[in-house]
Amino acid sequence: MTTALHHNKVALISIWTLFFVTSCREAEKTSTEQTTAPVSTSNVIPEVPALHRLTAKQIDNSLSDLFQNEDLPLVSLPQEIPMAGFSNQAIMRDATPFLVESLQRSLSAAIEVAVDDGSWMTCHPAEGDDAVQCGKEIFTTFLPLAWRRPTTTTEVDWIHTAFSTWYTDVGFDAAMQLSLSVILQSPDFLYLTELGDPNTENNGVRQLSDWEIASRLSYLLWDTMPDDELFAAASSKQLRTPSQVQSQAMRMIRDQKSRPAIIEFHRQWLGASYATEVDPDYTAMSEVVLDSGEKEYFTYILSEGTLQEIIELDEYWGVIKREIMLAYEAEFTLFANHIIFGTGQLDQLLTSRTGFVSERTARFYGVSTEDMPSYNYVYPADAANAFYDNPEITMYQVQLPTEQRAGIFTQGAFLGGHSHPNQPSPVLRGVFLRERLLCLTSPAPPGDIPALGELTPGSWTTNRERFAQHTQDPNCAACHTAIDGVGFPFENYDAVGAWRDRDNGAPVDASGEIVYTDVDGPVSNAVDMLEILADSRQVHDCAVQQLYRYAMHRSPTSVETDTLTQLQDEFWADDGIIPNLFVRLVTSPAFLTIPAQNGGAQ
Amino acid sequence: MTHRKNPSNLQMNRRAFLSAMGLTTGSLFLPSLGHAQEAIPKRFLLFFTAQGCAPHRWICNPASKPMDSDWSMDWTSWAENDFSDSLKPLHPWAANCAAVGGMGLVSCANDGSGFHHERAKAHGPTGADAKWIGGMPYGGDLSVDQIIANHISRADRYRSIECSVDGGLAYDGQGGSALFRGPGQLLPTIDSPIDLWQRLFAPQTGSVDPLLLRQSSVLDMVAQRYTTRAQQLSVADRQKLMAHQDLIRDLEQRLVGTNTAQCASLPAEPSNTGNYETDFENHVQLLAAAFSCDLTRVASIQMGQLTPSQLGLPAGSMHDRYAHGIFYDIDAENAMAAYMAYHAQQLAYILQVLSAIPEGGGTLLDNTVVLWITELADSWHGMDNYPMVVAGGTNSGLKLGHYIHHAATTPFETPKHIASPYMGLPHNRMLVTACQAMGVPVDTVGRTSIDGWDGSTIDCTGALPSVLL
Repeated sequence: MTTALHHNKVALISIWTLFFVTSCREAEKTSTEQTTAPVSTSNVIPEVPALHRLTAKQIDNSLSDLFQNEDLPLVSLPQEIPMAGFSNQAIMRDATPFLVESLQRSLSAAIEVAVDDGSWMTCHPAEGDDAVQCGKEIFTTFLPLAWRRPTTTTEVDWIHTAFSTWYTDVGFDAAMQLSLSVILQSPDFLYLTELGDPNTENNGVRQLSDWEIASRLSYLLWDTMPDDELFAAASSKQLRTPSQVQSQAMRMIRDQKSRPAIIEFHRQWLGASYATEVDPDYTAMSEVVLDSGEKEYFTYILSEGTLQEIIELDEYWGVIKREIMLAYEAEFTLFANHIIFGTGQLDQLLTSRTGFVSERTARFYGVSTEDMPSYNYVYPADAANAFYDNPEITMYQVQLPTEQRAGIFTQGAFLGGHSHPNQPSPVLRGVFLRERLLCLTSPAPPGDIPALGELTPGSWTTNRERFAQHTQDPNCAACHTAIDGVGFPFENYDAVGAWRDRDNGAPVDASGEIVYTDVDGPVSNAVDMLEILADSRQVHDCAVQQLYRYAMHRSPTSVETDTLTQLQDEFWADDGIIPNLFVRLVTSPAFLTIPAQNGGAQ
Repeated sequence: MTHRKNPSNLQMNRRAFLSAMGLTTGSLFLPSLGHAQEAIPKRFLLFFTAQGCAPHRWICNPASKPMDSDWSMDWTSWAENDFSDSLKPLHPWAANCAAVGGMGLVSCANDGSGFHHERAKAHGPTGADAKWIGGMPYGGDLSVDQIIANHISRADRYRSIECSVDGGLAYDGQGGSALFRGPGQLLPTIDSPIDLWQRLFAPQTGSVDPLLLRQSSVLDMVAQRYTTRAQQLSVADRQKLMAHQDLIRDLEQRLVGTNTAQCASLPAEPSNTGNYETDFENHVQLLAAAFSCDLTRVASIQMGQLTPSQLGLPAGSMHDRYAHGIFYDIDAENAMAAYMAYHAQQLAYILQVLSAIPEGGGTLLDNTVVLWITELADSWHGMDNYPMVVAGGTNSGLKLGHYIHHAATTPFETPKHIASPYMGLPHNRMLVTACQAMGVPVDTVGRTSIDGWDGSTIDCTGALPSVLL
């Protein structure tokens, strides 16, 4: 692929939302995959079942949908334990005592509000309806929705019998709360339990049922339960062929509901939450971080302030830091939305000069916010809300300096989140970039002996020279050449992500080298490097692997290589359009089938 | 963990609960009404801190005893300056503590290389070979607190409570916690003391009491549903659902149990979170209250990394600037001595809080064993001279009031600042000691043995007679 071709494609692909786009790369291919054939089952036998439990966000969204109420209390569950970025990996999500207890408590709290509200109920004794009969009517409708599949008379009777007993004891609303508490703590709601369709068994593989596919689709693309249309498609067995699934998936991606769900994948993959790791030291950072009034105030207090004033100054500094973190959160999210729901292309994520800045971070980027379009960004309601004193911030869309910035890896969350308080860390930056963008793991430091003298004071001037001492030890050199080679190019960005030409008085050397990839070679700085990586097949292949892990809640197994390779070929041929990749993934055999032995007890 | 209903008063809630059960104060009898009717339970608190010591600034040896033999000294009569810099804050609590020197993370030294922090923190509380998931090492077996919880926890109360401060021992790419219910099964922590208060002392759901009374039948139905659904699934999926089912059954017992706990006084909800020191203090106070009410008998606090500014040092990376340098840079050595002293001061705070709560004829401290362990042995990434401290009171079952030294006699070589073919005793034995002090009849925690370089078998089992009463 030539660079010229690469840069000419923008106009064509920017209309991807209108139809499944045929891209430049795909046009070069002689044949394209056709999606009307029945699911091919020969290649894909996932060995590791990954029974998925809904995430807190997925539970919240599902409850909102079920009860048609946006104001239910959010569930409060123990923190997820991420694996290589993703916090939805089944292997790390076994139930714990704290989880089960938190679900009981949180669901009860949400149910209480939902029953008090009651607008989702089709009948109520307060309206003169017979209470027991009304309970039956509600469960007959509600149970299949909550469990996302047709339910049997036995199942409805099971809950209705309990309801009737409770009704006698405690009345309608309380009995309804208790019944809903049973329904929503059940595995049928909390887990994507999959049996597959035994009638489709072939070569040891079963197709998932239409209902199971509907749930997989909606929890990946919307982070919530299926809507009426998807349920209707499942009910009329219209989720059988890849082309049927494709048309639903495209409808779903065009729906606004897909935006937070698709952005969430990017947030976890590319580390949006590192925004909260930005922790600059004001003595080192004051030149860019503070405005002139603040600078004057800081200088005055630090030289002449009382102890109390210094303590207050420290608190004020905490407020400024939170503001920077929120600006970086907002920057990541607004930018990802702008790219993913604009051209949708991976290379744009890595090279676009469109920026989103606050009044303060504009200074770090050397841009003005005057007359620029602005957004009032509100951090979504969830656990991190408590972290921000004020979860709202005004952000401006700007053009960033072409020679200084290129995409998500020149933004604050990545740069500032992989820094120490007074200096950036080329090692943290290099390791993260290799892991997330190149799918290269960085081996642990060899042996058990830290390089003595690596930090001998006085033997270095710049941050780079200090870190370069790693590579002088031959034991460390092999890995650090690979890590630092892609970490040093970010030396133009200080610990808060601001541009710098000089470090500790000396000119910054941001040269580096890409190794162990398909685009190996020297680079002059981060922008240069990111332009090169944006055209790397390996980077595109890695993105596919990352989405696969996120969508399947597990790492790919060796027998899935063919599916993965096919998706990677298609993604590359497609100019790396990420929304298209979502569609291709959900129509791939891996997404639509399970091994027969996972299809349940025989 | 942010959505909070307006908390109502637990005392009110409990009273409402009891009257809803038809229990007036006259007829009130519940099996868990304080300790008058039953033996006072023992409690266990694990205090787990980051990095490790500068060994030459942790070891105490004011009498210049030979380091190549085992010895023990009553340190209750020592002057403050006889304590090492790292342990000096324990001076006022000397009678309630024992520092156990000459231990080694032998199991960790034996278990591969690289990933020092992650590997060591997987070994510290488990003594077991790491379980590797996604290229990272996690605890390969139950951690010591969970072994103890399995034996001493009440089914109708919290099995154990895991807390952290500032994210605890979570690292880039390896979040969460460093304590385990089983191989690779991490226990999530509660970082905010407000969330901890909510969990322990806020009323259940805020629902009307009739609902709380019927939660057992709700959970019974839920558990049935897990069993039914699990039977339809494949083996692996079935196991996952049945594990969830077991926890539902546990919760069924606990829901009523935790609401019948008796607390002399209820702690107030902490007013803020996010500050390292006050979060720690609030956690300690809430856990001590939970111990006192017998809401739980096992708890842990995992402390996040300290920053240089907390130690009054110039800004920079604690790890890069100071931790590695303990053997060749006096500033780094001082910094890491201060680092350990900071946590020793926190241990002293724990003891102070526990000793302020009367229980039986003494205090809560008398019936509690505290074990302080660190992530690495030394902050140079070394695995030998693993600093271990136990604390408690009259009923601890431990030889408190001593500094106890063990000579390095274990025939296992690990990189050390001053090279030696021997390491200290396998730290597993201190984990066993803690278990036995808690009345848990185990002789092994983690590995049972390791091959020595001399062809011998290094025994990792058995409590240390030098420490166990």
